[in-house]
Amino acid sequence: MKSRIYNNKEISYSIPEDPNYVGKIDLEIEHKHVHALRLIDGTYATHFLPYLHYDSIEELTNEVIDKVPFYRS
Amino acid sequence: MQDTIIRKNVKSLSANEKQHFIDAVKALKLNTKESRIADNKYDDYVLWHAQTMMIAAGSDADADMRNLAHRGTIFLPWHREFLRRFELDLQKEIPDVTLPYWDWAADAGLRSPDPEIPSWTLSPIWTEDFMGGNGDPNNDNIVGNGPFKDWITQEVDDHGKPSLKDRLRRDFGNIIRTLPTQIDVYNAFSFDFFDTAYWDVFSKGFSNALEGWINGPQLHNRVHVWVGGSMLLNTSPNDPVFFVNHCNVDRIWALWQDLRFNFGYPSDGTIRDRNGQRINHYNINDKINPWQNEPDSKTVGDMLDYRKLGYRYER
Repeated sequence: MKSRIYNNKEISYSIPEDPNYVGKIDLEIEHKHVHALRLIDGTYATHFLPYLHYDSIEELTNEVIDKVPFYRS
Repeated sequence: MQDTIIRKNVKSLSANEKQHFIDAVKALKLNTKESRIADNKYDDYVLWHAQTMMIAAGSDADADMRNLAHRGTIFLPWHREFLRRFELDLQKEIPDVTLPYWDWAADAGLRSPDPEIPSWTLSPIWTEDFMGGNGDPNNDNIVGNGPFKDWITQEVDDHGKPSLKDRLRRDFGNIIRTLPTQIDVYNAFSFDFFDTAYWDVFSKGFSNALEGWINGPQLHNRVHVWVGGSMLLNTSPNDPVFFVNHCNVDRIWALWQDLRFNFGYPSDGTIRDRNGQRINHYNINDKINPWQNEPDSKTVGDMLDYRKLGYRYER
């Protein structure tokens, strides 16, 4: 698992090394699970922010912390 | 035979009609006795939206690939049913209310003569007597004016269960600067077929173009992103502007159907995933989730002819 801090929130995640991997990503913010997915075009999505795709898991995670009340609080 | 109602452009609403719409929305929020899955009838719609979005559609799919309300062929029929139910509930509160639509492509063409005044202030919807305005950037983008300035939102956890309450937030044009234009709408109309395999965000067709995944975010998705704040989330019906946005999306679908002289929906059993499995709740004779077990449940096919559902759009 990789980990980092953003806005005082602890983030941990694990992405399979296969560059063609498509599927669920293990992602937690402050030990709370976050649903996230790597898509066939290499972008990332989460059902918390359903109208956008993100170029990296870092970008997605930062947006979840900034925008989603369940993880902001 | 039920009477046909007319869903009007917001800019055509009288002061009385605006007030009735606002009053009916607020009445649903205060109706705690007839709610189904939330604290009140309005928040039922917030939870139905968020929870349906979390259910994967197809054996090849995660919910973020294709789900029972979005990211696939079901998007337009599901939201037509969602709006129909919401409008019927509004009418139980105030009988003459109908859903109005927000023609956001018209707003994309608005130009403020004063560079200090944002163009959205010229829009007929962001007014003190209708949706209120933008969130306050000095107060965490909380909406502090208009009828919904004290609006409390219902948020969800990672399983779609009600979690905390929050405030209504908007952040116009921060993530993406512009609303979809009329040219963007015409580009979607260039598709003369509804959708194609594998019926998800990567497919070609009118449905996916209008949902907004082709060269996205476009059209429907772009409006959610432009408004920002509460509209960015899976709980986006928390912002009442959700319903006037989707009413416009439904109107554009109705125009496309009228133009093409057919309903364009794939025949029963043809919507299958990458494993060749039929995608449940997507095919034309399937019941629409999550109301499939209710006495007034509808199939996808029931949603295709909007005239039979008893409404028209003001032209």
